[in-house]
Amino acid sequence: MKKAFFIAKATVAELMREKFFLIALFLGLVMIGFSLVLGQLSAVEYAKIMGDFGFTTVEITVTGLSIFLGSFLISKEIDRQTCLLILARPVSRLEFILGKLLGVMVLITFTVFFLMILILVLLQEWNHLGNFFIISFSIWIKSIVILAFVIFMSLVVRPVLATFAGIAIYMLGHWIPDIQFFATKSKDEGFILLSRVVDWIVPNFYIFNWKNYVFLSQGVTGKTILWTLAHGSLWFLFFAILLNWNFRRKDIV
Amino acid sequence: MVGSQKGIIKEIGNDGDNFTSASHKANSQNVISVSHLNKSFPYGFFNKLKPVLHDVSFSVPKGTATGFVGNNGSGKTTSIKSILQFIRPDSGEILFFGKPLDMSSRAQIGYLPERPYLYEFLTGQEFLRLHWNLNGGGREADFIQRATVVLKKMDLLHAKDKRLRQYSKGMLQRVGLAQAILCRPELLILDEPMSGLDPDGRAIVKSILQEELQRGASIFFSSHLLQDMEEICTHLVIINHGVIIYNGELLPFIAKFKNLEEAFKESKLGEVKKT
Repeated sequence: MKKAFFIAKATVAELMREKFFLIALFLGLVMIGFSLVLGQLSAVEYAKIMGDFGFTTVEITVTGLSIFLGSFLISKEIDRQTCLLILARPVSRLEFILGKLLGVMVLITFTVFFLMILILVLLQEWNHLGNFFIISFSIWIKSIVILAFVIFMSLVVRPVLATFAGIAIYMLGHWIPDIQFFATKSKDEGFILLSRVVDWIVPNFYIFNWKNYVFLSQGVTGKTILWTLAHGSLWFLFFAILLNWNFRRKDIV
Repeated sequence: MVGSQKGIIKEIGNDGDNFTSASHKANSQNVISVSHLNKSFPYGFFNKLKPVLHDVSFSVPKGTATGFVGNNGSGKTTSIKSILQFIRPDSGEILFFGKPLDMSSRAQIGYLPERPYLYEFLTGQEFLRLHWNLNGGGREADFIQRATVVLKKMDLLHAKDKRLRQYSKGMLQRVGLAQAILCRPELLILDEPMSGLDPDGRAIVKSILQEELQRGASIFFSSHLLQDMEEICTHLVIINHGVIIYNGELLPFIAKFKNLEEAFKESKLGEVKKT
C-alpha cells in the first residue's frame, strides 16, 4: 500500500496545479466573501444567513470537484496513456486506483476544511466548533461517495456522460424523500415501485443534510451520525469495489 | 501471408535454421517467451470481433537487442501491451525469465511507451523519484546519485527542476527513457524509442542502448527506423497483419540484401494487404 501513497502524492501534486481546482477554490472563496454581504441584510439572522450560504458554497465546491475531477481522473490517464508507465512498475491496478482515489480525497478534505475554517473565522462562532466539524464531515463523506461513483462511471461511459451521471445521482439522492412522498400521495403502484427502486439503487444524500443543525444547541445525535457514516461508507465501498473490479478487467488500448 | 513472405522464411529456415517453431519456447536463455498469443478487439455497433494478433509466438534471447518490426497497425503495440498485461490476450502464454509476469519480474523491466505523455506538472526529478519509489528503489541518497547519472547521460541534468510541461518532445522522450533505465532493469521494452528525436537525440538513445547491452541488459524494441535498428539489434521479430513472419537472428535475414530496409522492402514484408 506504500505504492498507493506515492501515487496519491503525485496525484495531489498534479491536481493542485489543475486550472479547474484553482478556479473552483477561487469561486468558493468569492462566494464565501459574498455571503458576508448577504449576511448584512439581516441584523438578527446574520450568522444563520451567512452560515447557510457558506455551507452551501462548500458543498457545491467539493461536489463540483468530485464530479469533474473524478470524471477525468482515470479516463484521462487511459486516453493519454500516462498510467502505462505506472502500471509497468510493480504496482497492482488496485494500488493504482487506491492511489488516485486517495489523491483526490486529500484535495477534497483540504478544500472542505479550508473553506469551513474560513467560515468559522468569519462568523466567530467558536462555541459551535463541534457542529462545524460534523457538517464538514457530512459534506466530505457525501462528496467521496459521488467521487467513487463518478470514477466508476467514467470507466463505463464517456467522461462527459459520467459527469452528467454524477450530477444526476447527487440530485436524485437529495430528492429521495420527496419522490417517496409524492409516490405515496399519488397511490400509483408503478410510481411507488419506482420510488422504492430509486431508494435502493441511489445513496440517500438527504440524510446528510445537517446544515440547519449548526446553530442548534442539541445538534445532530450520535445515532444519526453513526447511521449516516455507515450509509455513506457502505455506498463508497460498493462503488470503490465496482470501480476496482472494472479497472482490473479493462484493456488499456 | 503473401507468397514472397513464405519464400523468404522458408529460405532462411533452410539456410540458418533461425525461424523455428520451437524458438519461442520458454528456456532460461529467453527473457521473454510468447506462445500462441491471440487477441481480438470488438468494433462497430454490434461489437463484432476483429482479430489483431493471430497465434503470435516469439522469444527474446537474454543479453540481446531484439528489434520488433512491422507496418503501422500490424500488431506491434498490441503485442507489447499484451506482454506487459495492459491488455488481456484471448489466449496464449507469456513468460518472463521462464515465469509468468509477476510483481518481482516487473521490477526488472524498464518500459517506454510509444508516446510518453507524462505527468506534466511534475519536474523531471520528481517524475524519476516517483518511478524509483514505485520500483522499491530504496534510499533517497541512492536515488539522487542514480538520477544525476541518468539525467546526465540523457543530457537533461540542466532541466531536472523544470516541469515536464516545459520539456520539448525530444526531452520528454529522453526523460521517458531515463525512467526506463533508472532502476537498472534486466529487460528494456521500448515502443518506438527514437520517434520524434532529432539526430543528436537519436545518437544519445543509441549510445544508451549500447551501454545497457554492455551492462548485460536485454532490449526488445519496436521502431520504423530500420537503419538504427540494424545498428543496434542482433535479433529480429517481424510481424505483419498480426502474424509473426520472422523470429531469429538479424544477420541471416539480411544476408542476401544490402541492408535491413532493402530486405524488408524486397521481401514485400511491408506490403499492406488490400481487401
